[in-house]
Amino acid sequence: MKSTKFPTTMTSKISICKLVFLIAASIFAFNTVYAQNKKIKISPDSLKKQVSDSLKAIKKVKKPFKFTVDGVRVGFDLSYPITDNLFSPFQNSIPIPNATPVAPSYKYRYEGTADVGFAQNRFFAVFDYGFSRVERDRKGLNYTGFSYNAQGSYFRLGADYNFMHRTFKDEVMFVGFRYGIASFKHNFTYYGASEAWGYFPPRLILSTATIVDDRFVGTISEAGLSATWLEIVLGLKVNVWKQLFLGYTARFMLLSKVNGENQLIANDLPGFGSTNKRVRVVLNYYISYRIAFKSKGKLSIGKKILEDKIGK
Amino acid sequence: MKIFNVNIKYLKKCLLFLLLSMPIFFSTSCEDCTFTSRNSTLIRVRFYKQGANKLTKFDIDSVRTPSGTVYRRRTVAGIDTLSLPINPTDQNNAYYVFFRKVNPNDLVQRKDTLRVAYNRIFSVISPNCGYDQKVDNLTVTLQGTTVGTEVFKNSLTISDTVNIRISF
Repeated sequence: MKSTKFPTTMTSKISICKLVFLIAASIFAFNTVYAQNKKIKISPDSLKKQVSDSLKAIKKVKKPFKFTVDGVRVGFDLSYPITDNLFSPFQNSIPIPNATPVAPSYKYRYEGTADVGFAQNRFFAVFDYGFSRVERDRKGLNYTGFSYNAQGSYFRLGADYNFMHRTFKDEVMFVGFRYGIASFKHNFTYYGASEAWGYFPPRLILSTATIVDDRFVGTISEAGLSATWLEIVLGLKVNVWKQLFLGYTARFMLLSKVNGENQLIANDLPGFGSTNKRVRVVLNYYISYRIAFKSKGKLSIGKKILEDKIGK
Repeated sequence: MKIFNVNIKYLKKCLLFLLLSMPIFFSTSCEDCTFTSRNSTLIRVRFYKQGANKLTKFDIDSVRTPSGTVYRRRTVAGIDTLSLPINPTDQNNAYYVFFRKVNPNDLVQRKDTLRVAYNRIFSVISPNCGYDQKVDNLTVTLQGTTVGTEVFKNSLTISDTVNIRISF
């Protein structure tokens, strides 16, 4: 019998070759399957990446807006005349029994506003001007009777941003800020009573049926006062008819400082209101008319958005 | 017209609704008329025995201002605390005279005087509450020979227990 050494060697070589082939084939197969699996596996991220890559070519180019002056809107406030005449706090005041008749108290406030629109209804420069006269009268209070009046004017400067400028051509939903400055004067008459000091509150003398008032009457007058405050405003303006607008502004006001007070703390600041709180929230309701500088045809909203999208 | 599933006409209607609903808010809003002052117009004085830092009751017969009486003794027991009302006029000072007997059997009263000065700032609280006065920088400007004084707290608030310590 022939030695089987050679064939054995060959066989072993073939076996090694087979083994190597098998390993290589299995690695290839594994890779192929893995690769196929990888291809099949679709995650939202991978899809997103693919989509964003595919859209790279037509990526939205932001349209650089032109800083043009669109128009001027002038108006006046309706809320102050309405609230001052119908919902005045003094008309709701508790009547004081047996008190000397008090002079009626008034609050007159009038405010005008003007804004200039820029950059296709995006930005607005705003100027408000107003004046107010406040009279508060409570002479009938026995120990703390007083009469107070303050009058002055104010203006506000600020800017608004229309965050709906892409959707609406004429209407405005805005957020903005204001800086307010008021100059005013105030007068105060106080009626002081203290039995220990010989000043008695009003009392009825039965024998003569008269009211005797022994209170001390003091006066304080201060002029040339000023106040400043900051506002964050939110609001809207709706085009109701042709160029006529109605809208309101919610003001979140923060009192900065009042200058010139020596003996009397200002109670009511023109444009700001009561100083009992440093932070106030006020609503103004405006009617206004716009004078448009550029009378271009009214774009349809879809066309406007499309234009913005393609960056025309 | 629908853009991004938002109906513009519907949005405009919402805006108009918001616009027209605002007067209702106006009708419900009003000025804040409630305010509680912590300021006081009473000077709280406490009496101490001279040389000793101990609150002591004294037999004070009366305390008077130039035009009225702050306190008049009604019981046998002495007092160790008193509230002195500030001057209601436009003067920023006040003058008080303490009448007392050093010994219960004395026939003559001793007069001790106290003059104070202060700053006042007026403010209007609300139409129904009247005006308020903030009194601060309280100082003793003149005192009788037998009175030792010390300003303990120079601004007046309703929670004060003592503003001036008086030693007899």
